[in-house]
Amino acid sequence: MQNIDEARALFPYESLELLDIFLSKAPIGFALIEGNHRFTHINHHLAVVINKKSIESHIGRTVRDALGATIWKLIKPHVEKALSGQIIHEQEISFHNPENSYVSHSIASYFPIKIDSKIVGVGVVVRDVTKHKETELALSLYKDRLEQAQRAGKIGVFDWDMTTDQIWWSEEEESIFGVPPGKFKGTVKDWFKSVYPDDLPQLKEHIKAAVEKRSDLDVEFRVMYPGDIMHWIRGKGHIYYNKKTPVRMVGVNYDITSRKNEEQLLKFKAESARIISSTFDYKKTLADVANLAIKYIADWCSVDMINEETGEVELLAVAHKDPSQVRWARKLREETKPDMSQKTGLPQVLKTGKSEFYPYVTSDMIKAAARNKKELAHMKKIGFTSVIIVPITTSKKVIGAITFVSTESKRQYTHTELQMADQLGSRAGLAIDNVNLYEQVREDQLRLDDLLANVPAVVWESWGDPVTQDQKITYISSHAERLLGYKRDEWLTIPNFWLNIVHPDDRKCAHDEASAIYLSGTGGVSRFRWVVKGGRDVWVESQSTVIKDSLGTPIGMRGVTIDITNVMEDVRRKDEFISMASHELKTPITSIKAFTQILKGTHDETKRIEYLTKMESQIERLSRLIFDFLDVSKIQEGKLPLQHEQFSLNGTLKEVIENLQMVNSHQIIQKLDGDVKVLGDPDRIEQVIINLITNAIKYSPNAKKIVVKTIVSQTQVIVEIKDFGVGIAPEHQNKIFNRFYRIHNKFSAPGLGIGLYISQEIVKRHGGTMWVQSVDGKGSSFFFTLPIS
Amino acid sequence: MDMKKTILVIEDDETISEVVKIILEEQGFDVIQDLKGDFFHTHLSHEIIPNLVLIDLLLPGISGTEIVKEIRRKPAYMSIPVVMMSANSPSELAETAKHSGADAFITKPFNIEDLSKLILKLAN
Repeated sequence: MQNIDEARALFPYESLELLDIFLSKAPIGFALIEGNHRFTHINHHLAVVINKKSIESHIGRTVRDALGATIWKLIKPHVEKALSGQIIHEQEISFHNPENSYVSHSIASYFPIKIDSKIVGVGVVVRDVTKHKETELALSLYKDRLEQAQRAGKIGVFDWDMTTDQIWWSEEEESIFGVPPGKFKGTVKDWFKSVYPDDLPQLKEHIKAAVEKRSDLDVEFRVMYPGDIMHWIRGKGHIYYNKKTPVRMVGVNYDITSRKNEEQLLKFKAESARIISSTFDYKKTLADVANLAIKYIADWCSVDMINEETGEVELLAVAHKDPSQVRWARKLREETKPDMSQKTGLPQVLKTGKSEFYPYVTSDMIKAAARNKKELAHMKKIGFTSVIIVPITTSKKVIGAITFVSTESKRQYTHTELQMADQLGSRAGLAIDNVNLYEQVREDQLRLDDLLANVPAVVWESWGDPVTQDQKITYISSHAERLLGYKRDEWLTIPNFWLNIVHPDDRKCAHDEASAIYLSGTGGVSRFRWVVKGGRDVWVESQSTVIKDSLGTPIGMRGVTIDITNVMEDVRRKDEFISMASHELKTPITSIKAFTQILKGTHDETKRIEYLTKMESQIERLSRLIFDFLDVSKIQEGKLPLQHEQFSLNGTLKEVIENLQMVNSHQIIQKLDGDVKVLGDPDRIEQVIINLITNAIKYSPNAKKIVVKTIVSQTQVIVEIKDFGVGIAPEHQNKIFNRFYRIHNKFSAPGLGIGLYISQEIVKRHGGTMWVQSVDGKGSSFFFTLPIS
Repeated sequence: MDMKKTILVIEDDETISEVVKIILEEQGFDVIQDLKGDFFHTHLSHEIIPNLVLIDLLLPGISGTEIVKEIRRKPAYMSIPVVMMSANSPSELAETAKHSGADAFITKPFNIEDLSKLILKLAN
């Protein structure tokens, strides 16, 4: 370790400090290096700003040590020279720091430091010039670019004396207008001659307008080069006036062909991409693309497709701005089909699936391609400039081709257009693939829909996990809409829709069951109620299976859900019937049992007979019930036995009424028509009449009378049993004849819901009908008819 | 001599009502028969407060439980013992009886001895 203090002692430190202070505000670095190449002093600017290190990391260390071997190698000769007594001025050091890619440039001066004529070290003064260098470099690059741009842009200059119509062109101007060097004749007439005739009127118009408005000229027009190549030119000019007369126009022209082409190409690309991706009718789409092409990049555009069935090439679309030309082309195509044996053009593209590109169509090429004189004439008439033919390829095969032809516009296609056309062809193929796939899926779905349309069940498929309620319905048959009233879209788009419409009381259970089925991976059945749009409940039974991925993990479910409302209603009615039946049976048994027990301790003969009589009537009641049950099951089996004999209806009615009148307080009023003979089972008809009259009494507790009426016609007799009781609400009227059907309201009386069922069945078996007319709260009339024998 | 106690029998089946009357009168009770379940809506209910109510669960147009609940809401009847009677299963009836506030229950068909004992126990 070098003794710094010793080294420093050699220098006049007071003057060093003064120097530091003096240089502190200036962007100048300063250092002292002693004879053995160690830093003994360095100021802030050199250490921190230029060297990007602390002062401390320099002091006492050799230059090589502190700044690295590379820098030391650069400055060593200068330091050595200074140590030998020379003053080295303004040496440039450029240093590339490999760590941070930073390139620094500085200029340094080295001078010997002498004490008592003895050289003890080197003083170094450094200026950082990196910024300055960078600016210089950038400027030279910019100049280069500008020159390149000028060369590439082919800016031509003109000076037009508007009083003499003489015009001066620069050399570039001649090349821009496709005129050989030095061949421009120097008049406005010559200038206008070189402009494409179609665009000349517009150019003159612009010049006129610029003069009138006293504005600058800015115009785009076309120029036909020798060899029939079209170029786009932009012209800008400034007009000078002598008072009101324009005397001179000075301006520039430059070639904008590639920009113009690219602009149109971009527009075509964007619009065709939009057309292709936005429709499912690809034939129309391709025709649209052809029309679009003639707007932007081609004079002719045709789309040919291979007919899948016949294998023939068919012209799907052809476009040209002139409709008569289109008709002509179509007619031409009808006359001469493409020759598939040809190794060029459309046949080649369709065979190989590779594009054909003819940037410049020569008359030799046309001659070679034409099959006969007539065709040659047609082709010459068309006047090809440039042709691109690209295949339309689906994932399976080449299905067609698009042909872009440049004719009267003389546009020369480049690889840019070819690339774009290729992309368009494959995009069209892809779109057709998608359309086909979509149509296939849609057809499959429509077929499935058709198949399932008449199935009275909801067939469905869902993806996702019912446990986390992250389910999405992916298919639902149309029956869902019929059953529940919700649109298919609601099922398919609203998450967990199926669960949302489950009856609130069943929702937890339905969710738990679905989760369990999903997790089990095996499938299962669950029952719950869905709430129909509008509020009614539907009982359903859902039978589901689990869809699994290749690893066996559940990913979805499929199932069939059927309406079991009627089944559930039947079950409920049956349960109710069993409960009511047992109740009805137990009632007489209760009395019989109690009387039996009482009888044991009763010795009074009168009482015994009274009790036994009561018991007998209860046994009678019991057996009637049992016969009723038997009747129901016989009707179910279609085996209800009936007698066939002639009997008097009025006789039967009178007998029944007489018996019932004895045990009932209601007055039974008879309004009977003339007597008729009926063929059938008098006991069964009696059963019907008893059933209807006892019902009438049962359901008119506050009334005093019942009316029994008959009306005889030629063929039949109508029997009406009318009460003035509670009546039957309309919604129940056609259901009360159903087995086990009972109305639940405050007027409900104990019963089994089988009496009317049996009665109607008996009447039907006799060839008659039974119905009811009723006003809720006012009373009911039960009617039945019997044929007259 | 004790005043005869009155039992109100609410039962729509006439024969059962009759037989219960015979049994209870045998035991020395006065019996009021209510075949429609409307005793508490008649003027009679203002004159007589029964010592016990024997009530059938299934009555035309009204449930026995409703009547029991009504009895329990009226201060004058609140403490009257109520026995529920039904053809339902014992477990079912026990639940219903407890729920509606009845004191005891008996299933149909019953033994007359069981009925007598139950009524005697609760009425005294």
